Amino acid sequence: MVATKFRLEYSSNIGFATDQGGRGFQLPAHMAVRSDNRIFVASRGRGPTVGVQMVSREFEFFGKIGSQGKSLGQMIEPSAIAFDANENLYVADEKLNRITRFDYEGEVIDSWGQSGSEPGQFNHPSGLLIQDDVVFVSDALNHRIQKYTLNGDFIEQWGDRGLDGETLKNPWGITCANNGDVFVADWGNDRVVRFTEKGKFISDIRKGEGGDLSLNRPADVAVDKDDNLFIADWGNQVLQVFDWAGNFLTLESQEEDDAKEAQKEG
Amino acid sequence: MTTIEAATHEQLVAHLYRRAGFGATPQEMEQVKGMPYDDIVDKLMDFTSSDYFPTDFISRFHKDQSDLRLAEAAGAHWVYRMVMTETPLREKMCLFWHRIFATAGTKLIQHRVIVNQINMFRERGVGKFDDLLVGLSQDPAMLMWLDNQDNHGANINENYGREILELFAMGVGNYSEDDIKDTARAFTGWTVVNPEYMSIKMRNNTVRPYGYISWQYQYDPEDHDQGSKTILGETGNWDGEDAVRIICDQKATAEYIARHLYHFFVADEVPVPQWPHQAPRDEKAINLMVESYFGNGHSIKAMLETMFKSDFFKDESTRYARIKSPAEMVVGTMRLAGPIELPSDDTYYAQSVCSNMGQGLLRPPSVEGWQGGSEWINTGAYVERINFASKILNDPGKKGVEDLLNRIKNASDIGMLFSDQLVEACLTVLGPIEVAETTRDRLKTYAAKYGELSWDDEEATEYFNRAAISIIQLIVSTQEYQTA
Repeated sequence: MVATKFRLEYSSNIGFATDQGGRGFQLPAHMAVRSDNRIFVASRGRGPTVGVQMVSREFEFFGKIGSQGKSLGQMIEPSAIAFDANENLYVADEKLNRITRFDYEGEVIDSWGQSGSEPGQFNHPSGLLIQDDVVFVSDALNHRIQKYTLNGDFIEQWGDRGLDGETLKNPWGITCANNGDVFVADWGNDRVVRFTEKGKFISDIRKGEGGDLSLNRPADVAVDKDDNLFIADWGNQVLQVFDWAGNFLTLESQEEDDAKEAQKEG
Repeated sequence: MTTIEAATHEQLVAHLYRRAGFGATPQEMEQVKGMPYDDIVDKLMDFTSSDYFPTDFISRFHKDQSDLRLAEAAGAHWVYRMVMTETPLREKMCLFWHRIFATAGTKLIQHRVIVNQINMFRERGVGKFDDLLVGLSQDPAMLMWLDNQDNHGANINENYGREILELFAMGVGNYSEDDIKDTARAFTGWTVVNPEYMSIKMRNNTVRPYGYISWQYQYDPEDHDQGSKTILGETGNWDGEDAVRIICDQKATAEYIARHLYHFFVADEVPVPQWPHQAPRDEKAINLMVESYFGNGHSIKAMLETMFKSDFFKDESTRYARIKSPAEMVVGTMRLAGPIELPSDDTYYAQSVCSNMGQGLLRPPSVEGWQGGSEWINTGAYVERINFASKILNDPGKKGVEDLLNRIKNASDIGMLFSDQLVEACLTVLGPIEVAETTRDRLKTYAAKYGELSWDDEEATEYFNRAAISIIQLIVSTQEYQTA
């Protein structure tokens, strides 16, 4: 079903700024929700604030994974996090140019990657997606997407610096459609691109059909069960929502929602 | 033009760039080659274009520069601008005003508002002085820094009224205590939006779900003292803009700003607190700039033009007579190393080194700013300077360093250089810098260990790079490089 409107309702605010670690965040860069609804937040501030913090929707604070540093299990600029099917946690680090894997308990397992532009190397890994035991990494300053096994073995890559089609410019967030296609926030090109999981270009969105605001440095994208796209339009400081065909969706008002409910009841 | 005259002209241009900018890069020297001196001054003072600044790229890859709350992020942000600017004099003027209108994040807790203040200097810093002073008086960081949000019609706070007269525009001895009170009264109602709440937010650093918010200026007519005031002999129902107009019409104001400009760009003056008791170093120079101020509608740009084109500025005795401030030395060295095109820690390193050397950007020690001059140098600070410059230039992979190395190679037509020639070529591409003969001799003695240098193959090139960079590192350690 293709929606023409969507609803968003303010629920609550989680967190506050902290400089000293403990509860709260400093420069939260990315988040992921585990199957038990625990929220993991990559904080890339400095000193004791660096790491992946664990909280609940009610902002219970459970602790932090990792600390600032270069050793195995440590981080400097965590940029993206994702879970595999076994609920292991993967953390990309833009400064250390590596992916680190932690188990369910938060114990470090291993890491891979180093600085560079060859396959298996990174220059600011900014986005992570795990789908069917494949790790997709948005490799921002190499303008490409790389694919790895869960153990960090390189599979393949696509992308090169460019303006359109299969090329990219500083890609950031990455997520998947319900059919396994991959959406990439092509930050530097002000668009969101849909690829097959092999990297073949399918389509892109720069401005929603019917919308009046072109994307401006989109940072990330999330997909719901109907393949509607929720795009963090970083440059415009707004959330834009499109259906799978690229039609701009408008926010449904409370009045419209109430009217619908009344109609149903009537 | 004879060779000697050509060399003299080049040296004069290098002097101009050291003072009006951060020292010329070889590319900048190339751009103005053959141009008459006055045209080069005009080029440096062309403020019509704004610099390209990739805010999005920096905010993304240096996330702490999105909110600019912390001193390190804000300082690095400004360093980036100074390194990348194509209008170095505009950034130098920001440094100049930051030194006089010194505002620090230490009291304000956050630094974004001071970055906004520097942006205001960038916009108004070379225009009409009245506009700059109005901008300063409406600047939220300044309002909170000097407590003008507590300056009420029924109960004045004299802090800003005093400092605009004493430190920002006129200097001690040119106003009375009554002038201070009535100037403060003129600025009543000049405040920030929702001051009580914002004041609490400024200090309360814990529960802050929506992040740090910059203050916004607001005029509150209900809180303004509508009574008659007498400021510097003029009586009327004055508000802040009237006070600024009256202040800017004073000869003492023009003299004070001229003396500051001379102190910053020409030669070190005695510390500001001694100014009421000691005549300027060069009264004629001050008078020329004062004439320029009044003859051009209080234009700061006109004062600068008069100064840079005058004999007192060009005089050989002024060269290498000022110790570079930490920011001048650090930024100048980074400009030599080349543009910052990718996320880099160098800007953070730079702001931290400036701080270690006594010039924490956006963190002046007090409302009196930095005195500068010989205060910039002590044993520890000198070592810090040398270490920084040596480290930043110790990378043949950096674009600017690569360019320096290529230019040094181009000093030879035959694909090789003797060690003496290497030293001369390094001194040329780094300025040109004129060093004392003893220094030159020591550099050559040191360089002799490298013998004849060529760059025929990879191994020879690597050896040449190592030799050339070691000479560059020695040159940036000299007194001449550390002065302007």
